[in-house]
Amino acid sequence: MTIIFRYPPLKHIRLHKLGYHVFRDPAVRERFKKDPEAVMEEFGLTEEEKRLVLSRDGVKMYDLGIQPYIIFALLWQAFGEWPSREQVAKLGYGRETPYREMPQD
Amino acid sequence: MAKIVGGAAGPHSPVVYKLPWEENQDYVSSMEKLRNALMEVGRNLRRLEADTLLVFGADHVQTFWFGCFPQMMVYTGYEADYSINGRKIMRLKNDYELAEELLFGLVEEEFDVGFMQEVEFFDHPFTVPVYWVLKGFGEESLKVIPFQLNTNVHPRVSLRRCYKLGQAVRKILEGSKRKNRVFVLGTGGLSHYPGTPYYGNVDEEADKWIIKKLERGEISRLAELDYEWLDATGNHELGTWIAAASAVNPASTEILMYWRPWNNGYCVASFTP
Repeated sequence: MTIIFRYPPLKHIRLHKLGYHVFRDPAVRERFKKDPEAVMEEFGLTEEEKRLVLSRDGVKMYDLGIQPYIIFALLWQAFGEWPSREQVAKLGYGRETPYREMPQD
Repeated sequence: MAKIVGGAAGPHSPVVYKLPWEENQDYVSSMEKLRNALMEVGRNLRRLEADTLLVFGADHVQTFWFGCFPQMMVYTGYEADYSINGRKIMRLKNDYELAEELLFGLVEEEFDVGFMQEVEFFDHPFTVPVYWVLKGFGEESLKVIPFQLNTNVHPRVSLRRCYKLGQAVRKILEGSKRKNRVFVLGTGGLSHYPGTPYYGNVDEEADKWIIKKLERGEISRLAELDYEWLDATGNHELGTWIAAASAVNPASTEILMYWRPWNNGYCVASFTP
């Protein structure tokens, strides 16, 4: 059994903070659109984290431990990049869900 | 005494406010029915002459940040802005007096609830259902109480705790000297996997099981579910529904709609005390 909406690993606090502010602060969002390198530098992201953010790859972000609602904020809510029905498989979403048993009545 | 006159639970996905992509006519038509089901909740709220809307919603790292991430929080400010995807769309009065009474009462009942007297905005977990419910309500005299439950960032408030919370809310309101007529709303779900590689799945079998339990009034049975099962089935936000249903203690539950498109199990349930 797996926890999907997991605890945010402390090592990602800089990237998580970037996602939080890009979502909720229009000024940061606009600056990020124009010069993502500069904004990521301000938030102290490592080179690896910068590459991850710039990849716009939500599946990869999840697999590397980014909290799902930061991915949701950073890609979907702030920039409207929702995976449509057609894009789900193309972008690697739709992964088989963890096994679960139906409870007894 | 204050009185819980009714309740409901329904989805809060931003998609329910506005579709971000093109969809076929069947999808668009079903989405309209879903919105109408939420508006029917609002019309019911008006028929019941409710004056306060208590909303159990789940923070999505929008109001709170990992610098401070509470399990339960009641908003006790005068009013609040409500946004969708960070864009403000409405401002609503808050029932701060009743919110304060709930805060003090719940702490007395040994629920360690935090409070906020000021907030920049509440986002879609509150805004989306309240927007459509108020369209059906059609009046601005209603006051709101947003009540945050952490169902989305592990470790999370258990469903058993949500169940007891609803019971405590009802007890406090029944012991109040106020005359409020309170309608309780739980928001989220049902099966969906936002921000994860599992997005695009819907566990319809799990949704149907939950719905059956709701219809039978077996709320305490639902409160036994743990987060491994809830996450695996995409029903991680069910705690908000449990809190609302437990507060109402429904004599009957009506499912106004269940619809299962490719990315979400959408359900609207109506609770009658």
